[in-house]
Amino acid sequence: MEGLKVLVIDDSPFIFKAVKKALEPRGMNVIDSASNGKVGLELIEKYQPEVITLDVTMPIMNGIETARHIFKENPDANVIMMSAMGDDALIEEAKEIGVKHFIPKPFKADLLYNTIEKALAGGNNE
Amino acid sequence: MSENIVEIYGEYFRRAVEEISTELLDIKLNDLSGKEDRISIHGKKLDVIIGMTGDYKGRLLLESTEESARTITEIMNFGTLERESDLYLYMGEFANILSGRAITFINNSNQKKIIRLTPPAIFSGVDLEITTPNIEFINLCFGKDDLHIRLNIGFGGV
Repeated sequence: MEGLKVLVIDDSPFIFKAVKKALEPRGMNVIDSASNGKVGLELIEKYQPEVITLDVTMPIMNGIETARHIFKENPDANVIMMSAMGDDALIEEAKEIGVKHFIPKPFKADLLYNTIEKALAGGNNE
Repeated sequence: MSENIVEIYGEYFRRAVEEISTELLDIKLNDLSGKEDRISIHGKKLDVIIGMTGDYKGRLLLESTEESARTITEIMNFGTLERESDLYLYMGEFANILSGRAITFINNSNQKKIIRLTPPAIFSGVDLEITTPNIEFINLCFGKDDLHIRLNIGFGGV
């Protein structure tokens, strides 16, 4: 997974740093972050990342809406949804729109790395 | 809302603080509720308010000294903050993660999404006092060494 491009869509600067700290020592390239889904979609177009980490609650365009747009353009996109809320109803809603990978915040570096590995292998983390 | 529900839901927040402080900060904050004389939150304070909406309405107030907030945020940031405004952003995120965990417990125990969170509002000031009338609330206090936080969780009447 050396050089794999990861884009972070999250309104918290802390999450961008945490993702960088978790993945860059393992050779991944955490290229940029967007603080809402609208900017995130623009950055996806710009960078064509292999993996996208996506927050749920964000201003302007939330994660659920953003995921809808992402999957409309690319049904095979590797989206890892992250949220402080990890309740069953939210996970169900995310699954309905095609999200296969969900990580509750805060996350451990190993969990994020393993989830990306699974996503790239075409599996899911249920 | 019965006092019992406030107590029960307060217990989920207590569990969330214990889990999140360990997972995120690598610090096990001790429950000092009822031992308020052992915690010190005076002088310049930083308060985060997160609203709860849905079947039950309420709010979480997380309070800390500026020093405690700085300790928490510097651990989250893996070092000194680059901008002073990050102190507010990171404490908002800390409160959001903590509330998110508690609400996850509550929603899962009810087997449906009965509570959602609103974005945090963050305030700071010297000897700041925030009062919300007409709610039933529970106070929780946590600390370790010089790091102290206080949670006031209230439901109903908002």
